[in-house]
Amino acid sequence: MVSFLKTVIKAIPVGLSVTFKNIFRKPTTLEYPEVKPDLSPQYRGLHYLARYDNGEERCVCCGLCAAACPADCIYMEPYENERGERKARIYIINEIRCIFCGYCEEACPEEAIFLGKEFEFSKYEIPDFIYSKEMLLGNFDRIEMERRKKLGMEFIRKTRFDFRMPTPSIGDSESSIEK
Amino acid sequence: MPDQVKLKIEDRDVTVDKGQTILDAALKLGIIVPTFCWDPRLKPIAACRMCLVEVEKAPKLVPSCAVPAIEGMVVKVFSEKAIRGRKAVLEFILSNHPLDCPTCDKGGECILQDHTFNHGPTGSRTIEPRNRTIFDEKYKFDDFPLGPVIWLNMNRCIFCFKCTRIIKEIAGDDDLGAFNRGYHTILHGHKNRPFRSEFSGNTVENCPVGALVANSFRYKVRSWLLKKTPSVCHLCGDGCNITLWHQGQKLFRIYSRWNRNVDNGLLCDRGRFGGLYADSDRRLRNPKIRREGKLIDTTWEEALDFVAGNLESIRAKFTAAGIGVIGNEMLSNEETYLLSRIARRVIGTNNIDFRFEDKFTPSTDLNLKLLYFLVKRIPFSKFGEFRNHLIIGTDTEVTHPIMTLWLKRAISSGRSKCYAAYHRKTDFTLHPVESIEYFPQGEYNFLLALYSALKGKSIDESALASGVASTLIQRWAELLKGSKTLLLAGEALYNNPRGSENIDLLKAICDLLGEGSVINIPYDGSNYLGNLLWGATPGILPGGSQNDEENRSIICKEWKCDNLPEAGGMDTSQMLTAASEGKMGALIFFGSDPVGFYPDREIATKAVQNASFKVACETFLTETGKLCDAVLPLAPFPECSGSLISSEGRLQFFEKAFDPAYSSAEGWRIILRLAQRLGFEGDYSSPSEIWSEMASIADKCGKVDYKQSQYGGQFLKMDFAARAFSNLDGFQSSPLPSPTAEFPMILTYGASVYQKRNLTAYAESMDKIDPGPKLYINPDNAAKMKLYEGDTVRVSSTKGSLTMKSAFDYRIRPGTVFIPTNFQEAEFNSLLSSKSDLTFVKIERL
Amino acid sequence: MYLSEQTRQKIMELRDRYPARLAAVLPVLHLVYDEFGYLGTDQLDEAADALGISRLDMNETASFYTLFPKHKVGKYLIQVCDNISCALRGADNLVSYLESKLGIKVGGTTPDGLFTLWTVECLGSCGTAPMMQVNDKYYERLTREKVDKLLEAWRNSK
Repeated sequence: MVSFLKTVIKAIPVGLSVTFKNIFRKPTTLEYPEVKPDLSPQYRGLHYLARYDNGEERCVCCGLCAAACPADCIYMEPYENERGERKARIYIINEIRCIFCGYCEEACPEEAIFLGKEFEFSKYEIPDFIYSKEMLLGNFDRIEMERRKKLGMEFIRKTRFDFRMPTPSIGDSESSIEK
Repeated sequence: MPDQVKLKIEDRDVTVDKGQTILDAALKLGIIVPTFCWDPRLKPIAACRMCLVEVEKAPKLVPSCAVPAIEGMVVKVFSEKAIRGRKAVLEFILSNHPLDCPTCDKGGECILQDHTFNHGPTGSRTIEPRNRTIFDEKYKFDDFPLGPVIWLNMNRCIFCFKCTRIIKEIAGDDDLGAFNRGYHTILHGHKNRPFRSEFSGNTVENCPVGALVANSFRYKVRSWLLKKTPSVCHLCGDGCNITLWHQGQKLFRIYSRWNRNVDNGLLCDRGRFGGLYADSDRRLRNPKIRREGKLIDTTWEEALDFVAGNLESIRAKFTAAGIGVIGNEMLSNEETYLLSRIARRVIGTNNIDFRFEDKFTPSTDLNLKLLYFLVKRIPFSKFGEFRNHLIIGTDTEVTHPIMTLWLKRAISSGRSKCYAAYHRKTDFTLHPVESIEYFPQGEYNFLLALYSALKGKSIDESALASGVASTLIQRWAELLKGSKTLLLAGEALYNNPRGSENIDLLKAICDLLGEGSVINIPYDGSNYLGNLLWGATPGILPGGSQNDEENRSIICKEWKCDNLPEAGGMDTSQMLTAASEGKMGALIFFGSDPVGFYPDREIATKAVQNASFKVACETFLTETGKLCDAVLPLAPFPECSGSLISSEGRLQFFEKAFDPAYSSAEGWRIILRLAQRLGFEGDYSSPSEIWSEMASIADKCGKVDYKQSQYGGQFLKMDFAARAFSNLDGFQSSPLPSPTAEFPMILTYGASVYQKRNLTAYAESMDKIDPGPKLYINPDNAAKMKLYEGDTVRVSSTKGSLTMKSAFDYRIRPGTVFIPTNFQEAEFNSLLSSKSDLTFVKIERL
Repeated sequence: MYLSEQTRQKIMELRDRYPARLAAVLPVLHLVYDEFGYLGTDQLDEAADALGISRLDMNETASFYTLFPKHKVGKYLIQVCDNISCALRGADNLVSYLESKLGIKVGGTTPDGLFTLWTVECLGSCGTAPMMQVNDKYYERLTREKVDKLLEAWRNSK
């Protein structure tokens, strides 16, 4: 009995010391719906299809994202638009199959598909997770609007990359290595 | 060995024939030298310089595809210098390549991509804007329609000139040339004429980059998504080996599957683009039966029960001889055999035929006569061994485009000459052909004249009756006499009221020509021969033997029945005539469309209307199907398995690429299910099971040796007995009726070069290549009538009249006009009558 | 009928001189050029028919040689070299001077049909730059005065 009491008396301060230590620490959890997490710059969330500055979609429906996709969640069908360009008639991402690996982003030669930072897109029905081209372009528009609002700019002239080169050239970035 | 040279490549010895190139020697060793412009079928031009190799003591790198191997040569393919040289070549080629791979349809199967990956530089050193060839500001990506089906993007071109060489050297057309030089080179036709060669699709298949793209494949799908299924083309008798590229149940394109003995990697546009008819969404989707005068969709069970029930009651009412079966020559051997079996064994009738496009189809006797020629027939690859080729009664470019390429190859080798006689001019463009144009239906008189000329008799009378100058025939006789000649007898000879006499004359002519002369019968139709041999005519039983007592008993034993119907069934003409008089109870059309194609629309329509019960089994709803009581959807060739015997006599098996789309079914399955409802006890689960049964029959009574079946198609050994050929002494020339003042022109009709019946018209590209029915007329005749190209004209005969656009064709014999049969809306056969041999028409400009 | 009987005769002679008929294309092009001063499609077609080769081959070969004019040019075809040696010695100035003097752009022909101005690649006369070739003759070490004199002489000689 005595030995039992001894252990208890010893244990209480030891246990409480942990408590007291952590009372003054910053909590690791978040009050999620009210407080949003701080995402890593590499975070890969909901896809979006980017547009050019003039509002035209970048995607040319080359199929490389679908080829790179390990989950086989992208489907597309091309068509020829009125200017003779190849564009996507159908572009579908099944977000419920997607494993958010970001390979599509890597594969895209036109810098059209990106994985955004959005992660709150839960739905009640599985078919709602099948994102059409319009929805994916809408994601971009939303993100772009937010970004502009955040930067306090009405209009962003230059994006991060300048894609309006007259003609592409092979491996511009690599030319220094060749030398 | 004097005519062989020994050289060293990469420290390995190799011996090749003299005249072979370094590249050939390297390939013999299994060393792959990258190439763009090299093609075994073409003369080397060393345009791309991709195959540069280092040769010891040579000052520079040499293009291995064009430099012949020399005794003692030491070649290094993978030396540092050679690798650096090839890298430089690629960098040079890429310096103006647009790198629009994401939008290029060749992306993923591009040879330039592969070579750049394997041999190319890692980066570009140029900063200048790339050369752009702009055809039209409207087209942003500089794509330009070169012809009806081919698009060109000159920026992507790497100037290997494979396309122009294929068109000029192999196809022998002068449609496509490379103008200007260097990076300013542009491909187009002479005077910017559209690129309309019948072999234009081969340029797309052989283009190493995406410079030439087929309209039907442009912006459709990425090549790596497609599955490939080997198959055999069904659109003519050549039996070209093809690869079907498909995804799911959608057929995207047809490429060649190299068979050195048949097609040598080439396809005609009919096969390549026309074959895509299978993908049309205008296909029949569901079985239809007639209820209250209307065709309504139903289920297979209901439709088959309906058909079987009606056939049973008709058989009870009319006896089995009141039922007729009309198949078509595109059915596979297995389907034909089953059809023959259901007709003979289950229904119990000999009324079975597969020809419905001609009035004068060969009788059993003539068929057996023709089959005898198959014993000594010549494969395409041996055409070059003949001194002369004599084509009579067909335009091989229309009926057998790939066989024509072998003829052209023989001509261009300089050892062979080609002579062609038909009722319109035969013209191989760049390959010289001597052509004679006789009167339509003048085959008999022409052959008689040629025969008499060879015999040294007077020919004036028969030459006059055939409409050819007698001096010309004399000249031919002199040229042909004593030389080893290949006679190609077209369908105009045997589909003729004087078919039997024509063949007798042909045999006599062949005997008079030089030693080793052979007659080939290039049947028109993918499985005409198979249909003949597997019992789709009244007089020939499955296996290819004559329908007589002895053979019937053998077949009876195989089929486990007591007796088969006695000989003497009706062929299509007889069936249709009988049916139009109300003597036939039921007609079964299996892929056949007599209303659309039998050369007397009135009789065919009446026949279908007057038969008590008629059922059609077809891929697209035809004119016949619209009049039938039941229509069953038949799956087209990519969705069926089976085997075909090409007109060359080659047995080729093909597998289905995917299951039948919509509710359609494979032909053999439809026949089997129908037979089972009519009391047939057997069952098969696949065409190969049917084939094994067929093989055992062929073993017992067949004339064809089917045993050594092998990949790439077996050239069948045949053993048909010779028939008695009649004595020619009594043959007299028979003048043909001449046009009247009221109807001054002779009407000829036939398939158009791009089309097969009405099927190919459903292919997307065909609207552009061959957009609609036209009346072809000789420009001289047109000039007299003050007719311009594209005028709307009315053609009328005693039977009826048609309105269509006119087109000029210098190949049409003056005094005749030509209407292609391939357009249902044209109703060409409403002008024709089965009572007269020739049809005379008058042309009026509207 | 464009070709003269004489040219036709010469083409016939060339027909069988070489093992392959295509080998005679270049001499035939020269013959046609000598007669007309340019190679028009119609003339080439006729020459091809006379030679017995495909019209396409003839036109392709002609288009390869940029030295042959393909359309009707002026009586004096002025070809100014604008490659490196001549450029260093002021070929650009020469061309713009000619342009202003003749009132035409490079590639154009004067309305009276007398002069056509072209710039061409090196003519192999670098030592005497700047230079130009007029029809078959070289004019070297050109200056403005020299050009004036030449143009005057040609204008008067018509």
